[in-house]
Amino acid sequence: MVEQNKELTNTKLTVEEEIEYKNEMKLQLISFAMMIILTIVAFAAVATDLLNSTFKVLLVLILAGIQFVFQVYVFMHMGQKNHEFPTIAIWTGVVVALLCIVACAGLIW
Amino acid sequence: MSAHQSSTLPQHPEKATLEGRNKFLGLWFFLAGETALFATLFGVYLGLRNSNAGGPTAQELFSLPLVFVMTIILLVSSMTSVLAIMAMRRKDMKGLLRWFIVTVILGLAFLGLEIYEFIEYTHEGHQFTKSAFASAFYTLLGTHGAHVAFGCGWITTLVIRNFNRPLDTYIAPKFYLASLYWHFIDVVWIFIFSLVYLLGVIG
Repeated sequence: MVEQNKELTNTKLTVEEEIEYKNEMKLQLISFAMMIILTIVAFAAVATDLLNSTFKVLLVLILAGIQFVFQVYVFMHMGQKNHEFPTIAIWTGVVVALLCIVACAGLIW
Repeated sequence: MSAHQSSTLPQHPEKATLEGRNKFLGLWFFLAGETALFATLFGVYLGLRNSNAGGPTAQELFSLPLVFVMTIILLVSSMTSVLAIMAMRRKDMKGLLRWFIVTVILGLAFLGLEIYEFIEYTHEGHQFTKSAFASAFYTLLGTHGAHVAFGCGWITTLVIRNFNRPLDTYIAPKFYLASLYWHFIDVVWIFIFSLVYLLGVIG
């Protein structure tokens, strides 16, 4: 185990790995900044009286949708390769979720 | 976990073994199922959000500054778990543990604010059994809060168990899955702050 430890601390990234790391880090930071901005926009739109209610509701829903995509495709890496099954699973989940919300919120009560 | 494996640790160690890939698929299917669980709770809440039975309404209760702080805390904790996985890409176990510890601290801060919020609400007459609106609200928020608490416990046990272990293809999937789960908690929170709080304040 000791030897293994030593080897690991000496592990350097190859040039290709270094480039991949840098690109991904940039993507993650940009998406984090975008999500902070989207959150601030959503709260600001609701807290101020600049827009009418219908427009506020639409804006909040659209911003939530964009944040969902950022979170799932960038933070959870669903945009990377070998994510076919997760993509199928999550979008199936979204369809079921939408049906369920429409049924509960719109039809039952 | 032989020395050979660790000396050539790949940049994506979480998917280097069949076991790791199976766990990865399993967690994604679990998250898809969780989507349906939260959908039922959101549906019930949206259907009943105006049935306040004489109790306080959403507009009277919700305070945006507190929710905004909770949102930012959870979003930053999502970013710190990204940074933990980025440390894994650098094969940096110390960095991975550090960022996961920060994630847990932020998660606990979020839970503390949520508990404070619930205590405030009960003082304002918004108890669980007060109205259909209150029951639906606490069930939805409580289920999400329970997920945050479970995530904190999960990551804490992972950090303690693997504190002095080197990073290898056996423990990498465990941390990777915990980070996926943590992001999912934030995905649910996006819809809670949008559909519950912001739409509640709009009315």
